[in-house]
Amino acid sequence: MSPLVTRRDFLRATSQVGLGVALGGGLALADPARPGARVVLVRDPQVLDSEGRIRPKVLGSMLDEGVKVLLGVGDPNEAWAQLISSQDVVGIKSNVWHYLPTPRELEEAIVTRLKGLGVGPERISVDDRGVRSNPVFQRATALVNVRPLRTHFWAGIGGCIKNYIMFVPNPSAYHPDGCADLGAVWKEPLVKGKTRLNLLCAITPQFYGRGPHFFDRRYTWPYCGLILSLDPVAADSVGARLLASKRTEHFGEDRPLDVTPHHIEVAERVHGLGISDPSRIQLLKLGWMEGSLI
Amino acid sequence: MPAGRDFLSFLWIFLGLVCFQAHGLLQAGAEQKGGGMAGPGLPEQVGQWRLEGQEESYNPETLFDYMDGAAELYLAYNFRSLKTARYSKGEGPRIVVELYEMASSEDAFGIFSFEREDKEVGVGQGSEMGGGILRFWKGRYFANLYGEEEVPETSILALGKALEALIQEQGRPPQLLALLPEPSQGLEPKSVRFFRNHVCLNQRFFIANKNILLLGPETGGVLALFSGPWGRVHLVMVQYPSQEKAGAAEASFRSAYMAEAGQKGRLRTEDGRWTGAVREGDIWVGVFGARSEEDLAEILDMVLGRIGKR
Repeated sequence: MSPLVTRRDFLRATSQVGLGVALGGGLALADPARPGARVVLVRDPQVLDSEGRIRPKVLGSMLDEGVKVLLGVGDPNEAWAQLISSQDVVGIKSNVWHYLPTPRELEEAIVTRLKGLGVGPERISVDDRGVRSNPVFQRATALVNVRPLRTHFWAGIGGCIKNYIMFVPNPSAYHPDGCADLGAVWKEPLVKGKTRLNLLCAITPQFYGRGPHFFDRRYTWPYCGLILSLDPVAADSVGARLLASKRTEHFGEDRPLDVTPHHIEVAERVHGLGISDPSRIQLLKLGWMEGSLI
Repeated sequence: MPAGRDFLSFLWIFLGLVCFQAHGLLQAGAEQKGGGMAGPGLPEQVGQWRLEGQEESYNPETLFDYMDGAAELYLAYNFRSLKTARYSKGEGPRIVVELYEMASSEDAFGIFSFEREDKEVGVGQGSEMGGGILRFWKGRYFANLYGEEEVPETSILALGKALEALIQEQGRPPQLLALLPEPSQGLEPKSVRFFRNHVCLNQRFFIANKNILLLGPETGGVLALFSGPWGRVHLVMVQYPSQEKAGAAEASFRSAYMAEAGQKGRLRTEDGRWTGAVREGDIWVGVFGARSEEDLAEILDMVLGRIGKR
């Protein structure tokens, strides 16, 4: 059972949080002796054309640059080869949410790179709602986790951790306490130990939710970014900070996420899934940084 | 817009109203997803917008199929059933209409108030329109109308008014609202939100991750913002089914949130502001963020004065 946390705890910690965010934005870990995580933010305003459509070539370049820096190598093919072998069976866990799905162009860019590694098309599948019955996902040896970054009504944010909810037969069983236990999903046999890359699509993230399906197009913006990490918790931690910062900028006041996205912290503390503490996340920023907010 | 086009628009809407009223009497069959609701139907046609395909219906067990996690919000407000349909002009984007039946008009008001932030547009007993979404409540019903993509707001509004006309009943907003101070006393009307559980309260004003106010389906609470010489404060008022339960909630809150305040019921929090809580019979009141202890006392007295007159 999680401990009692009140408004007063947040009031008490406000100055410390501010400090933590400031430290987390740097290029070095606060304490190199403690284990940390690396997250790459890559942005390019040219990824969207004047009508808001994605330019696949620009997106592909962003993806390659991000993976290169994430793995610290000079060549994108080498980077992808470190993630996936030609013998792997690869499930690309996407997100089909009608209002803000994983862009088809991003799915295709990933598939193209997998094929380039020699993974046969019969051993690649892109899916969301049907992953449990999808034969490729059932025998997958590797997963690529890719979804848009957005606020989520019941979990605070919809990020990499939450994206695996479709791997369980009863998603609503994870709703209690603001979806605190989402990290447990990653222990499911279909998932455990298989994820090679986590990718938050922040091309047009949603920073505030409203309306019948928690979507209001006024609250998305052309951030033109991708957030990549081997650590889903670290990726979500960075994503949560980005959304919170955008809310503050947009509303002119500190308007927190509707639900505290404590499932991110619980994923670290209870499930050991990754790093949530911003001071232990090395955030590497590439490309266009105007209005990066983090 | 030329006068002739104004007249044509009027004619379309008039003809549409005639059509949907006929449809209201001759209900088309709805595709059932776990059982539908009795009560008002959806209009067949309004202006050039015609119902496409069949209505769909959902109940508390199947609502997750329709809206995933957001269903929790509706269930928290005692959701009973949903009718939904799409309207099109033959080409271009469609308008989605959702009509929710809640257990009571308090719940219908509650779900409406939870996300209210845009301008009132005069539909039902309370409404707003913004971002291409029309939301209104009337009786036990709450409605959402929105374009799947960009759709003129006038079209959504016409459809909303047609739907409202099919809802015959009037509802009563939560009685607690009458106990709130007046706008002239600093109340920000659009900030008023009715809630039943701590998760919904926390989404608008976080107090604690646990249910320290012992909220549940049989309690009703109001959250509101007040502005005045004291700055801007949050007021939380909860009505319990009995004085005993209100007393238990009072004790729970004091223990979990302000143990060091003792029986005084007020203290200065870590941000330098003041928080206080009092109980009057079956009603608990908390004020958060007052600039001084004197301001806090003034606000609490103002609220207690209203409660005492009920």
